[in-house]
Amino acid sequence: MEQKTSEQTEILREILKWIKFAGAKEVKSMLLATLDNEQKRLIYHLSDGDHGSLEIAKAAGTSDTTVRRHWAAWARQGIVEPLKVRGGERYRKSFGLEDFGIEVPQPKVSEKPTDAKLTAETEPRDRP
Amino acid sequence: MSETERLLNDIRAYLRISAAAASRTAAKSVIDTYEKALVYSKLDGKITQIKIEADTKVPQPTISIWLSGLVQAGLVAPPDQYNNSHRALFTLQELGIELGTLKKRAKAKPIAQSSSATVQQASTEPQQSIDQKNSESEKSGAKNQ
Repeated sequence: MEQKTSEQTEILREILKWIKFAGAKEVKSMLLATLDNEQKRLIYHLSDGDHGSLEIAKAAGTSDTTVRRHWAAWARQGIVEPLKVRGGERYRKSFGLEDFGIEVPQPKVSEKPTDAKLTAETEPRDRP
Repeated sequence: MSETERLLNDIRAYLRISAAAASRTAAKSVIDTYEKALVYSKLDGKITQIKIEADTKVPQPTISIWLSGLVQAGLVAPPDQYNNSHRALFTLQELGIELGTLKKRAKAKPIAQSSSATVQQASTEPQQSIDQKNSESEKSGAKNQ
């Protein structure tokens, strides 16, 4: 049973690899067109499902409302996915900017980094 | 989230964007009016054509014709075992369509009083004619939605 699951996961990895290869151009084009300034790119990059809109807004030097407005628009474009959390809903990026050679801006807050991930988050999502 | 779920999510995300990009040209020629886009945005797989008519003021027979065209263009999935009604495969944003930039379709004029005016109207208002012609035949289909 476990071996079968492992084989299926391996097949899915293989499928994903080829789909990424085939779709990379379209996805990069969509990301570049949508994330057309540093602030949007930073908000998108920090939208990993672990950080709330308030944390991200602070790191990006904007308001919580702006973050949520971007999330709603990006969800309609299919580049983030909703994630239910206690007390509401967050959004998680569907793509890692680093995977497409898109530069990730540094967070604006530096005086008191309460969350190390916000300042040091440069590692790509778990992708091949 | 399990490894399998994560992989499937990633696969879906890539496929959606690739499919939306491939459908954009067709979508712009098919979804060419404000009302059609509005109808498209409401296709969640559950809503009935009668409810869409009430929400958008587009006659149900017209909605039925539009849905056939949208299915043929590969932009909408027809009702199936999981969805009782038509379901949009993309969002308008994914297709690069902005509601605000679309023109509204010409509204049907009220029925003219003189016979000559009626003849003239029939020749200049094809959409209204289609709506009326299909009205009865489509009603039965809508009740099944």
